[in-house]
Amino acid sequence: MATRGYLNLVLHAHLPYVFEADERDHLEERWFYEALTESYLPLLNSLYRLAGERVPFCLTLSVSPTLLAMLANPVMAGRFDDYLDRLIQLAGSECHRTRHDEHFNRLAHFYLERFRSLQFAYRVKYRRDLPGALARLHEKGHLELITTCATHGYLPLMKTREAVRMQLATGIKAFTSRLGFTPRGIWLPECGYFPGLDEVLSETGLRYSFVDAHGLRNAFPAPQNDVYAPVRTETGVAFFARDPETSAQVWSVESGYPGDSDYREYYRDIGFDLDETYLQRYLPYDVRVNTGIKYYRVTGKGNHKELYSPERALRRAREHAANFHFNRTKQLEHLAAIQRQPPVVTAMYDAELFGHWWFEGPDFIEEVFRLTAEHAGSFALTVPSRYLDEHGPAETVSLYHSSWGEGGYSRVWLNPANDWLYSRYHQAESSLVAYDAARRKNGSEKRICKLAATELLLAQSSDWAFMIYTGTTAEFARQRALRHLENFSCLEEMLEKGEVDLEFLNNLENRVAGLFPDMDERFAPGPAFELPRSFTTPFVLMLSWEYPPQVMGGLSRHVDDLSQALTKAGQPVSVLTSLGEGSSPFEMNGLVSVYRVAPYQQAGQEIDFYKWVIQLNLVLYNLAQKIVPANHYTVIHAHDWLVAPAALALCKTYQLPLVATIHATEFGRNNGLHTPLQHLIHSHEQQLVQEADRIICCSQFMAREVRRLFDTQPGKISVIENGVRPDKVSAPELTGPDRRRYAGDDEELLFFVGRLVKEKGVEVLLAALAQVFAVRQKVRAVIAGKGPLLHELEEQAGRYGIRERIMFTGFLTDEERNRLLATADLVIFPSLYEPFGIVALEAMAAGAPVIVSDVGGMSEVVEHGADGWKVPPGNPAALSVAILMLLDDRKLRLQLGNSARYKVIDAYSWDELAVKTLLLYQDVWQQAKKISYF
Amino acid sequence: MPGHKRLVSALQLMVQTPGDLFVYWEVSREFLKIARIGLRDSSAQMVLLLYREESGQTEQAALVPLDQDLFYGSHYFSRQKPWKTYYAELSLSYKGAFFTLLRSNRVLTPPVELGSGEEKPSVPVQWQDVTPKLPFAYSPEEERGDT
Repeated sequence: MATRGYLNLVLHAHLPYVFEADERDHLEERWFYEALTESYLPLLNSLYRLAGERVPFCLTLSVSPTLLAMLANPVMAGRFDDYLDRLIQLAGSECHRTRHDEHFNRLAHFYLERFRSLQFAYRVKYRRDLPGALARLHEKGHLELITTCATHGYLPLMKTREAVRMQLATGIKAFTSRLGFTPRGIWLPECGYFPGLDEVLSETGLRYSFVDAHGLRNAFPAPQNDVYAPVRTETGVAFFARDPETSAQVWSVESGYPGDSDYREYYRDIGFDLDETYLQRYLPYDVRVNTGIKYYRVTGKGNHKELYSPERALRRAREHAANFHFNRTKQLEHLAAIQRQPPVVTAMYDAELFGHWWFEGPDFIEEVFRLTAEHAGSFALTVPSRYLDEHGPAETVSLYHSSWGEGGYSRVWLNPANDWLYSRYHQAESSLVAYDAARRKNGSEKRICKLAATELLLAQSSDWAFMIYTGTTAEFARQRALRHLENFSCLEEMLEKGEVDLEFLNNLENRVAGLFPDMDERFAPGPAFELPRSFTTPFVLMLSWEYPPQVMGGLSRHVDDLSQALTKAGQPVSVLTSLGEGSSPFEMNGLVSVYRVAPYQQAGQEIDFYKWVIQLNLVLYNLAQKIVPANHYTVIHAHDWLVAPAALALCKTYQLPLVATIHATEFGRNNGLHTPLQHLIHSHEQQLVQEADRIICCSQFMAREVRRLFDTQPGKISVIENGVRPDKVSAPELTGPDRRRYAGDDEELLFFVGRLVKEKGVEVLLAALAQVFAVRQKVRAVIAGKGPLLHELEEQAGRYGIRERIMFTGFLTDEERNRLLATADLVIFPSLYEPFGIVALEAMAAGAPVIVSDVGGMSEVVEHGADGWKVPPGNPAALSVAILMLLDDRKLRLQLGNSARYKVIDAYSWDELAVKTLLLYQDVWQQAKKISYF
Repeated sequence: MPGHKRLVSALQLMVQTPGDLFVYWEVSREFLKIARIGLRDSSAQMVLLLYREESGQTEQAALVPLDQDLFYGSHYFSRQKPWKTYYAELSLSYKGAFFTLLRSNRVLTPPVELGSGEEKPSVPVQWQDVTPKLPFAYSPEEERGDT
């Protein structure tokens, strides 16, 4: 039969988890028993009555996981039995008390019969299994049962995707475990939606959900059918929107049905009207509570109330149902005429409205269904999945932030009364992501993680923020939220300290037993580094301002090579460094876990370099705080002053020993301290050297310099040279057109590579080349590298008249550099200050004949005349003589190159240096912890 | 008052309504010490900034000077624009410039009564990156065999 459209009635049933295992007559548990007595059982009775009479009907019912858990809780079932017994006794007593007043007595008997009938239904008809009763209606097609988030957490105000996913996934899992089937749709708590939520809904396999009317009306592009057809987002999840008309007819305080004068007055309960002494015989509380026995009707807006008449109220409910049915008929008639897609009116309500707040509500719904069946040609009832199967969503839109709360957004859950909750929620979210249970091999730790997740879920219940805002039971809500957050903190502390309080765990588990059956322990499945083998020793955390692919100088390569060698030797390493172009925030580099983060502002544009370094330290420190607690680090290793502030702060925060490598000093680079910035950097170096537990220097030269400059204790400094990986520098020499890019076939080639800064002595090299080129025609030079002196050096070359014979290449890739090292006739390092000279070592590893300044670390590495040639620093004349002499002696050059290569392979292998470093870590660790570790 | 022992400094921006945003921040002592020691300018004042991204440009939407270094605090920004992307910064203001201590997440305020021709914000709101975990991290309990 063709239909003019559909009515999609959606009820959402939810209560916060109020079960208290150890407290038999807990006051807030009454909310559950009241809702059962006044809403859920009467609604269920109405639906079963219709089903029994074979009246066709269907509606959607969302039941929250916390409510499902309480419905299935055997202890609460027993307590509800007692609750009903007491109500029946009270009603019986009322029958006796009012025996002389015909009107009140009639009502007392009405309640007595009602409670007895509800008790019979609960015990006999449904066998105390309401989830089962609902599932049977679902199987028969009368109900589309769905659920909501685990504890009804308000999703738009959560910080992490993981927290959102945890609420959704735990809720779905709990529902599925209890009812035996997976829900097709979900009720978003408070209809709270935000951009990106649909992706998570899609991931969890959900087909549809709901938003408030303005949530759809403000979609982009604007929906063609207003709120009268579902839409989908790019992820394919469909959304139905609340119809404002049906909403106002029921929810409106001024004009809604429940405010009718014939309906039962909620606020005139004998629990508040009668003598406390009389009531205390039946109610085990110290305070007055609602009993559900109410004798008055709404009557009017004032305080005067007339006696309630159930028959009159029922007639009224039926009239309102007829009115509702008539309005839907006309509404859908109109919509069917103006829109192509069959219209669907989605009427969304809290289930508790029907019966608890609006006593006659279940009768109203029952009558609406009867009328719909009777007037089948007017419109049809539907449920979301049926509508989607038959008609599909109308169009694809983007949805934005909305809710069905007061104001339409998040004001109810985020305002000065309750905004303090969120920093605590978010901290717990971040912690939980770190303490993922799935990673834990230890049974106790898994147990703690799952409990912590449960406590966070319970803390996140939107009910607490709501109650605090409205002021109803605000203190209870505040205490609940705080209690769960405190429990979470205690559990977190247990994880960190490894001290398990079994009694505490047992108590918590007792409280939440059965709440989330089969809880998925992968509730925080964020990205994890995959390591191909298991390390059995704790991690070393290395801080370095640069790391490949960010390469400014030798430090980057040093950290890369050292960390690789350490992991090869069985010592796991994490590197924290800066994020630049071409790099990713997290990656595995072999077995080294690399974390990168970028300062907020750009050096040179928004802030100067020094402030950029400080900002880098801030973000490194913050990043480290996310990973240190979740993994086991035992030593922090800082490289140079550039990461000193973060390293020192981390050591203090986590009480970890600090090893610092001093690659160079500001004093040495500048041959003194001449500017305020240089003094500032020097002070950072001083603090690092003084506060570190051990210092590593790459050469005896550097060790002496550090001792002299910073007055370091003897024995604090260890010399561990830089190493080199010959495989990283070997390459075939350039030939043919490749070589001719740099020099003619009959021309000799000289090569420098390094940063173009004062201390590398490139000015000295240019002066020497001027002398060389004056006497030797067929020779050219390549100067590779970048730095602040590039332009100045080019001008100097021009002044010498040798610009044409020098190529300034700028930055070279490793491959280009290696090929030049293999090709050059001489590789020259005219440094004025050189702590070690890693680039020179690399040239030697490549088998290149090198000329080096007799300075710093290079002087220690090169044996003059055996594996290289040394010249006095800053002496162009001596350098030019050496160049010319070696260019004339090919045999000597070959001999130097070969000897250099063998020396480096033998004495500067990273495997050996890694072992030395490991021994140093062990020593530092033993000193710090006074235990034998390895 | 944050109760966590080891605080990860954070600045979090949240949407209250299309025209109202809420921000809270928490800064640990060690974190602020790094910044203060590094800057060495005791006159640098802590400020809260709100930025709005519109038509590919970023403009300052609000500036709130804070009287002193506040390790934690919150603020409501009112009268902001719907359907725009925002982020906040907690900074130190010195000599007319700002040094950023923390930058918040980006949020998109919801639209209100979209008219025709409205330009959809092109910048998506992003989830915060989750730092990966190391799956085989050593645990003392494992070493002792307490599994």
